[in-house]
Amino acid sequence: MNYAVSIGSLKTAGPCLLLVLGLSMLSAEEPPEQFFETQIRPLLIERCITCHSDKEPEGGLSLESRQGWDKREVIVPGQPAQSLLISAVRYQDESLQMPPADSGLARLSDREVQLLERWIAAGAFDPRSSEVAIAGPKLRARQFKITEQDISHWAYQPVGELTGPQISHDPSAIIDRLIDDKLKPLGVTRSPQATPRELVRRAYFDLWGLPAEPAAVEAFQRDSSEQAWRALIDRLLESPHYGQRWGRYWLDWVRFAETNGYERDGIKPHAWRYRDYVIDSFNRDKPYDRFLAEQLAGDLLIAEEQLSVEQTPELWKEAVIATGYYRLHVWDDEPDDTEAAELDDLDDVMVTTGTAIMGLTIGCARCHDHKFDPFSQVDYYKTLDLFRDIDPYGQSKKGGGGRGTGRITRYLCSEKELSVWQAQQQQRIEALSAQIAVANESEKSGLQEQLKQLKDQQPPFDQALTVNPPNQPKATFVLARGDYQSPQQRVAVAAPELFVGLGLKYPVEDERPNRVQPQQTAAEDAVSIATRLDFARWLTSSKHPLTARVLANRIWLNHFGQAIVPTPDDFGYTGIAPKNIELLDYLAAQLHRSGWSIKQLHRLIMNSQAYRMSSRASPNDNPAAVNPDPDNSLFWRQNLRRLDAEAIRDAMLVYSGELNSKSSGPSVYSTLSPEIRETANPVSLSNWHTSPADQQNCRSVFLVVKRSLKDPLLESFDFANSHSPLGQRLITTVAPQALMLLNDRFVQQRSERIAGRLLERSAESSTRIEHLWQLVFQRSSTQPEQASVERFLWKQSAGARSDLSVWTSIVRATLNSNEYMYVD
Amino acid sequence: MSDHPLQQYHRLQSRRRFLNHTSMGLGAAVLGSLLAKRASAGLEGLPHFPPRAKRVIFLFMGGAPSQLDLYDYKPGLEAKDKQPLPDDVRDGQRVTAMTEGKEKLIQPSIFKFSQHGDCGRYMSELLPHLSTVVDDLCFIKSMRTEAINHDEGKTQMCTGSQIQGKPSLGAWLSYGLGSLNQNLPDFIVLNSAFWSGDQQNVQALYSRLWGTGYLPSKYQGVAFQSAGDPVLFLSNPTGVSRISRNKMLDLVTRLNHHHAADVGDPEIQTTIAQQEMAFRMQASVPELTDLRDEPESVKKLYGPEVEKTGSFARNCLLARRMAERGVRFVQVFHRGWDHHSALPAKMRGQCKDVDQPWAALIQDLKMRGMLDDTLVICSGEFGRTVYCQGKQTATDYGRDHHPRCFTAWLAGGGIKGGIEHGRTDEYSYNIIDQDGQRTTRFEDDAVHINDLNATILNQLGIDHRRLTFRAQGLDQRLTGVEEAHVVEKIIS
Repeated sequence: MNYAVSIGSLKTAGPCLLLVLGLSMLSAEEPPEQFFETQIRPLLIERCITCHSDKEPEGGLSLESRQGWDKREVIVPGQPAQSLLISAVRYQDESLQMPPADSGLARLSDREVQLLERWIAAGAFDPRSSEVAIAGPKLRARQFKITEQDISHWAYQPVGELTGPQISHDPSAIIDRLIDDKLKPLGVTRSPQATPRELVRRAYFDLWGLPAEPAAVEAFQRDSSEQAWRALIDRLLESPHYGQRWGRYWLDWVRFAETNGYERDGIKPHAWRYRDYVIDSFNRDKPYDRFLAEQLAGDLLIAEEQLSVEQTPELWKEAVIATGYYRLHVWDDEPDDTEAAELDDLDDVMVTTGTAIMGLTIGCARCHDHKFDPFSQVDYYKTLDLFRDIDPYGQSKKGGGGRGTGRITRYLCSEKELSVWQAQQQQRIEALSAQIAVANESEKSGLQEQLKQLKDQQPPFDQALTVNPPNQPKATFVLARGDYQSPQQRVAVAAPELFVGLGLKYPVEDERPNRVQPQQTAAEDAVSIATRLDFARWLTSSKHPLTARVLANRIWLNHFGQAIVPTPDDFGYTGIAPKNIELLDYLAAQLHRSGWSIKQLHRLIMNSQAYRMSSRASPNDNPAAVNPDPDNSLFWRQNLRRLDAEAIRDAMLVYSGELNSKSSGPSVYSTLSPEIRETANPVSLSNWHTSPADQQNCRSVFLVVKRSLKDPLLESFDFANSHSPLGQRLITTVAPQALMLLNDRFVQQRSERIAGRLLERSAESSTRIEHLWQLVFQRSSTQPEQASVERFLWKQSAGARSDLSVWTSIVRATLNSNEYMYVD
Repeated sequence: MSDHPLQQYHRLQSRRRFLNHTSMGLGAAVLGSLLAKRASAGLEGLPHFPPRAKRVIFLFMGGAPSQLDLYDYKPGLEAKDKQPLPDDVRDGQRVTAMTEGKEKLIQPSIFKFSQHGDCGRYMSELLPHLSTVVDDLCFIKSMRTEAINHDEGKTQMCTGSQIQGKPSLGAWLSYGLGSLNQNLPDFIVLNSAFWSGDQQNVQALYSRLWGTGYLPSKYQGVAFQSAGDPVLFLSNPTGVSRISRNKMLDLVTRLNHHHAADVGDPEIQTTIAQQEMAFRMQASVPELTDLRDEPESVKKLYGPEVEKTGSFARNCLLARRMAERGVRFVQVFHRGWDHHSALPAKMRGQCKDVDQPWAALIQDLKMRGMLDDTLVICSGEFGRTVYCQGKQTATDYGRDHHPRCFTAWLAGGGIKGGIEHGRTDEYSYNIIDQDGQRTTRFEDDAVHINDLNATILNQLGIDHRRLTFRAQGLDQRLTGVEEAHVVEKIIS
């Protein structure tokens, strides 16, 4: 705002302000502290703070601290004419007059107003800081504009390159150094290394989500050299169990489920292929950029790389299945309005893509400009336009009843194979029809039945949930209040303005045949026509500030139970900034350097000394660190972590020796207890097809994910809600979990099975105890523990001490123990 | 006390050393109870002001009962029987796909209405029992919602938003106010196992209706089962006696204390506290659900159905027993109120289930002096249309969904009795203001679900604008981003 304009905008206050501005210039030498303390502080106390205090801020405005007025943006330092405060005390606007005309309080005198103006004109120096934490980031100004502050937000800066004198020859040691850099000023040192047993358990649960084999613990206890550790990590990363663990994280991030949600919660056909695709991608260490490109634009990759089912069957299949990504959203089969519902579905895709990949809450800009982050409503619709060529999930409908799905699946065969089969089928039908025409009455009904079956027959090819080859995309308009009946200007694909400003446009591409050219105005010369494939490549371009950071942060989180950016799904203003951005950037840069290898990142992290620290936090372990950093936000120790739902269930199957080897294929439905059936929604139950008992003992990742009905054991231990992207499951500790472990049938059956193994093994209680402890805790029992179990046995009648039921109770006690549920 | 749990733990440990205790078990136990207390406390600064109600019983009628046949007396409709609904009344109202494009003919209620109580309120003959307590009830005739289908409607009523994934009212209360007791959950959901009026059209219930959304899941409602164990896996497995189970729990406790001494992490202590809560629930829940100590006279009040497990009558009595034992929020669901056809017959059946227990609950609370600080609310997710849907004969008709106006009733907890709030037009189709003009404004006594929620929070001493939780980039609250209001006029 320049001087002339501010004068031009003056009304009644004109001459006065001119004078004040003059004054402030004259008094530029006056120390601002002195001016504030002698003139402004008393004025505010006397005239304003009675109502506008930090504690009870009338209208949400506190004038008791700088944060108070800053938060509500009532003062624009240096610009009294732009400051709401001045307009209010001058009674310039009828809707906001302070003190209110009807309050009985006297208006500010001209002198008082002038003092305030002078103070603001000179920069509104204010040394008072808030005692009360003022929650929340700053609301954006109404007129959307990318500000200096936006551009300097930490998350939008290019990923920093490591500076400093010595770059160690060991990339993992740099992690340790970066952590020490933050600890040193606090006089804190990293905790010592965990014991070999703890390390092996930690590594297994981290990479496989399964308990360590007792033999592996023993081996590492014998040789816990650096070499042995690295070999262990390599071995774990090579196993298919790795993808079954880490693929599941991805499924959380993209709110994977195999049903649609809502009342009927219908099945999403063949969704399990997407789950297998994810697991397989992790196992093969598919570069993350490829992984994203396949999911966001598999159909376009097929065209670009000329993939085909005949020539490149595996690549082709992956590209088809990966776009099942677009079909995972919640879907309403009976919406009030199908057009609105289609936009809801696209919104779900936008929210998930923004959150899971970029850590952005861009979904907030659907109905209005983002309230906090630098994303306008126009940005939202420009991004939405990327996805318009995807067939809608559901058919549009008018009139009553539900609706069916659209083109959401396809056969995993060539068009040719399909048409050959269809032609043959047609011939078969015609032949049979001809036969019926000449058949006698007695044969007719049987043949007609055959005909019916023939007509119902599906082509004998596998199918996948996917997007089909692109359609004529619909035009995208900015929608006032997000309402499709209020379209505003038409928009075309473009990167959000913020990124364009950072030099990150989508690559310009030749005209696409099906696309109506948007009319470009001068202001829109930054706009380009781009595809989903361009978008995927944009995400993983080396200049993109978010994608690598977000992924690195997520991976760190699952190695430490605590992320570097504590809000893994939100890197915007409403998230929490990292305390160690150097560490985050180092990991992100390494991702780039390794060609987006996630397995390399695991090695990098797990081979650091930091990863191998002890998690202990008793007064005997690193007490000096507790007060400076009780939250361990700087990573002076590892964290004690509770097993997640899947690991709790899978570990029991390992201990009972029942875990089957399922590693792909259709999902498994566990047996629901009568209690659950009794109260479950009948519609949810109607498509719950309980699997044969032996199939049920698979890893939890292969259990069906039904939005309205989760496996009760998994659900009670905080399984993902599967409705919205989830970067970190809340770990809760509630009484019903304990009841579940105490009394649930699944736990009971596993306990019996384990007890049976103990009884077979030995007749001696001490041997049984030792064996049980090795199995469940991967260590020997201690003297007091043995005594506790012996005491328990002693309390049973003499004849019962060898009973299966008594030993089942002992096993069950170990499965209820915290040592079972927590990893050091 | 606002220390980090780890710091508290260290302080306690040093105190323990100072006192030269030798048993680690004691230290752990002290800390366990300390942390349990912390875990059960509500937010700092809550309640914001002195509460009028300590607890809430919410009777949810799933499927949406017809206000026209129960509460909202429209004597003028008989003269308009089977006439088309005037277009200006409907005024571009969105209707469900089921009645879109069909003729809309007016259907007066075939049930008789008569005046009751000192207040002289008109009540339907379907509700003889509830009619005896009208002087304790406040009827809001001007409830409104945006939802037009059940899923969205129920979700909005239970969580304040049509969008799935928001915390429920009960979860907000647990989060804000903490718990009143150590032996039972703060938020209990009771599902009725059967309903007499309509077996076919069953409205689904989902755990997300009592879920926590983005709040920590420890605030989740615990749904009691309508059959079998009241709480999932409360009973010991068959063949395991209580005595042997106790011995096993003793063993678990010992193992955990050995481990806690070794590890020294406060998280472990929280787990121990919750396990102990679970053990206590194994005793407290059977005691709660065992009605043998309930006097015959009280059981009689609720009617004969009270003897049936899973009946609405029994659930109302259980709700009172829970309220007595310090459960903050009890939500009782009754289903089968979606009467698109054969409404009269279905209504008779439904009211047989609920009428007597409704009245009994009010009387029972009153006799115990608990009505003063227990807020009772009864509502469906929306209302029903004045025009008929399906077959229309002298004795038979149906009604479609209607979000523009419906009736809820409240009692106790600082709410005035014997009053009505809000007005509807002669068709019970639109909310109207003092001058008979159609309105949706709060100033004209229209009450949005968010306003009802703001009022409920207010009675519990909570300023709805200040009960927030930061999630998805916003300070989220139960009453949403639009302005919501406390309905001061109904507060005594």
